[in-house]
Amino acid sequence: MSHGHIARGAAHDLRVEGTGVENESGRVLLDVQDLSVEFRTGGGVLEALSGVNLTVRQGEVVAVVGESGSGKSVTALGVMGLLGNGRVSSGRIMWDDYTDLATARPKNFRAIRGNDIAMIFQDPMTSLDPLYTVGNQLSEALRLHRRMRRREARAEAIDLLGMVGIPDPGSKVDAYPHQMSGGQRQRVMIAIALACSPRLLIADEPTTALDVTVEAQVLSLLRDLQRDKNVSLMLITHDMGVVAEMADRVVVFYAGRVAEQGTVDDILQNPRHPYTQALLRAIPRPSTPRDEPMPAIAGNVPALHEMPAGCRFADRCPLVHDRCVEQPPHVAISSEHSTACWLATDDRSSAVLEGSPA
Amino acid sequence: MIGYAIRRTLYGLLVLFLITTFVFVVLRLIPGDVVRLQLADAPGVTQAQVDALAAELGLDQPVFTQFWSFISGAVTGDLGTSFETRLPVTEMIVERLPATLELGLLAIMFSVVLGVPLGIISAIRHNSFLDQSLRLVSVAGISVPNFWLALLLITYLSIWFGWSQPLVYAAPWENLGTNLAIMAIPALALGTSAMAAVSRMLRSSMLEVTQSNFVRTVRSRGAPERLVILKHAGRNSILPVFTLLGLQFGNILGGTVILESIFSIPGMGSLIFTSVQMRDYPVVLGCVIFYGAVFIFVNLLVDLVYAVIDPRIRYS
Amino acid sequence: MTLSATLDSRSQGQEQAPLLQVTDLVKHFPVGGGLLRKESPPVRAVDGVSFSLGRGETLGLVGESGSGKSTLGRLVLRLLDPTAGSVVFDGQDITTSRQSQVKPLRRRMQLIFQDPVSSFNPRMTIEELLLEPMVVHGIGTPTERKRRCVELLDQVGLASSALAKYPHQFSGGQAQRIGIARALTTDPELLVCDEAVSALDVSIQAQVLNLLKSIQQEQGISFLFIAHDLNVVRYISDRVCVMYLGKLAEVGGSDQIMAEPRHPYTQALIRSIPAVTASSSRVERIPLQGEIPNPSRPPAGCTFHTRCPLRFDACDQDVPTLHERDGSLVACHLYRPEASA
Repeated sequence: MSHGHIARGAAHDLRVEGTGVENESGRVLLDVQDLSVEFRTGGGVLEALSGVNLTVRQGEVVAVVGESGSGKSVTALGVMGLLGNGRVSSGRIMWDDYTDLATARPKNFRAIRGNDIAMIFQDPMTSLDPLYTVGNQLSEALRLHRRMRRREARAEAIDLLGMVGIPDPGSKVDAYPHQMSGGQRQRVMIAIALACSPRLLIADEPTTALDVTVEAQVLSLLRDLQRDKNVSLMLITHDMGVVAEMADRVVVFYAGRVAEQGTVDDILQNPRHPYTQALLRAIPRPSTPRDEPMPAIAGNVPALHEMPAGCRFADRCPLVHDRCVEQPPHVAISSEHSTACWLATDDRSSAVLEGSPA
Repeated sequence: MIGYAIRRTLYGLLVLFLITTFVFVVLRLIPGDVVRLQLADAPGVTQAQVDALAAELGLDQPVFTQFWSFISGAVTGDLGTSFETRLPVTEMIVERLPATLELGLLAIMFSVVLGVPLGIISAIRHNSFLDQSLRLVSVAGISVPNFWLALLLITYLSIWFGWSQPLVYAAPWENLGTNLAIMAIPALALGTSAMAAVSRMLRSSMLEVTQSNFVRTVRSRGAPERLVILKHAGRNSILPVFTLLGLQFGNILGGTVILESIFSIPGMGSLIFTSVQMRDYPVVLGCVIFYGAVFIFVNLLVDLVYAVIDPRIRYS
Repeated sequence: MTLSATLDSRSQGQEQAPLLQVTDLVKHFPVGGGLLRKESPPVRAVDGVSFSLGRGETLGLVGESGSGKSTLGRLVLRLLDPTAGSVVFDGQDITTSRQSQVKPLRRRMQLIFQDPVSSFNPRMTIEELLLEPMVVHGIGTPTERKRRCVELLDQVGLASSALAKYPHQFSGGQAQRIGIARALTTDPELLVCDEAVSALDVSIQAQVLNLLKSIQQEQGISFLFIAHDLNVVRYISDRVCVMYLGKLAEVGGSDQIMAEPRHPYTQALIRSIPAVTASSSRVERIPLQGEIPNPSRPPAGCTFHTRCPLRFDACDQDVPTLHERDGSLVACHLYRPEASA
């Protein structure tokens, strides 16, 4: 692993040393343990998520990457308790070591949702209620969780709009969503999410619907706010560029399972799962030779109702072999880095771990 | 918005003119002759008597001249004189208006007061047994003809509960109890199909809204379900209901013709009914124009309410 | 003049007329209007665009939403009538032709959408969807058409068992393959790909890019490739046009435009792409400020001056025109011939 850890990395290294006493920055806020989620449909029960483990620590940015249908959004919605007609079929979602969100009562959950954990969504154009002013929607969160009075909430709403870089917040507080651009609406979404100073912010593809110049603005805003407020960020994205730019640690999803996780440099510089490796090759970059075919990954992600019993990447994997008919264990490469691939067991057969690393 | 209202009113007047022309022509095409009807078509009636009555009613003039004199009167608010009573039509309408207005408003109120909560319940508990039954009732409510439902209600209320309506109509300011006792059943019958339509429309629009991204956002900030449904989903899904009510208002106006006749309510509906039978063209025409104007006005109102509820709609 | 050499496709060097020649194309969409109402200023979706496309060439068209790139694609296919300017396809001016004269040309140019499934009739099988354009244009006998369907599916990498299925039974990548097969039914010479790979996952996107490239090599089809992802556009295109508010900001060879962007907008666009690099080489980018202005009220002078970090006096008043600069064409006052002297 490269030396290049910037200041924040030091905190992780401290924790990795494995002293029982963890300092505030290393404290595990969200601990998703062996989470499975299923959806009831007309055609039966479909398992969208199988045995997912991941953690988010205080003040860190965890990127959750994967393609559509990989389960990355389902994980987020599971944490938020917004699965709709889906349900947690097994596993736990431990919040700050004391509440299992998977089994929490609606009332207890509501006190955490929007207050301790907030979420921003992919499509800012449809994620705000079109019939109420942005000030009204901002105040709603403040009045719900911080019991502010109307005037107080309005003043706070103006402050929040200013904080997320909305020009002239004093008048924009009375604007309706349709009077704003996509980038501004996403800023409003961020303001609403941060209204109650949450400890964890989940951002589900926050810039996917935005133009690239606006994406850069929003990412820069998210990064600044995350640092200033020391809020943990769970960033769901399909864009490895966004990962490289934002993340401390990365969790790579494939077909409802975690394929690999590690620090951002582990994943980008030293990927150990054949899927991560292939994914990184398939990204068009400025240096990709134009006269050669793109190194694509053959085949398609298996559909939910026809998931193979073993490794789910097996039928697309260039390194597939006999053992892949069985589900691979999570193999620890280092204290932070683990991969669910049989090939990794060859290197350190002694270090096979069940479940997540550490 | 004022410019929009003025423009819409101008369009409305144009539509009203077309309605007038159409009804005027249709009335002349109905078989039966008002003169012979009034003279009882007795064998002893002479041609001279027929001609004199026709001249008195203005029916000896060419149709175009009759139309023109009607229109020029209508512009000044004079809708002509009844063939039957020889009273000004405007005066007759003013006299009959309150009963019809009351009936129509009661029917709309009934459809909203019952239809809205049923729609919400159906949406919240969608696909439950309760929802399935409510939907069945809705389909029945839409399909049942209102006069038949009214007759059914009269019959079974008297058979099962021994309750029958007062026989003599009373205006609400004379005797509110009697008035409501008479109005209740026709209003119920008249409002049932609108009520069913409202609950169906609200159910589907609310189901759509509760699946939308912004409702998910509201839930994600920990809002209790009451706030989600009433504040956000409610206001967003009520818009199509207003459009529906505007259109249903037409059905209700149409329904007054037969229901007022059945229940002997002295409103415009029963006036139209008897006037058609008597070939009293000016009264029928006047009432139809009035109904048309009310319908156009109500739908203009609906569109203006839209702009109040939805800030995205700005009329210019 | 060197200007036309870059503005026009490279095929002109080979003494061959370009397949597509677009000249001063303008499309304004009226806003409001109607009976008893006055009109607002129109949306200037495309505002004077000229380019040409050679046979077998791929021209990339990048820009943010509101830049007019999709409108331009539809104008080229005459799915929209232009306000002014001309589109000449293989020597025939399709902007002034009647629709009946355009129809035979239609089979020679096809459109691939971002979301093919929504453009398919959900009640038609894949076979029916593939047969339809051939029937409309009277191509082949019924037996030949059926054989062609199987061939096309094979060409786009799908089994013939797909013929009896319905669009919703396919994943995004497979649906886009069907979209491509459908576009190929009429043996087109021009394919307009409007964000054709934008909605696809990276691994599938690479597959579809490879497919498009191999089809082009086999059949010599020209592509107008509209997308917002610069890396994708660079990979597939020979030349790239960068659009901003209905105008071309820069035109150049695809490697050159990425390596040495001239226009401040192109530079900002490229800088905005998050790069897949190690955390040690993370740089804090200073994002371009502001957002694309309202296309019904574009700024005076250079339309980019409101966001441009290098703006100077001339930018507020004078509209820059495309000038040649080291092989690229740039519409920026920084590169005016007299300024560079």
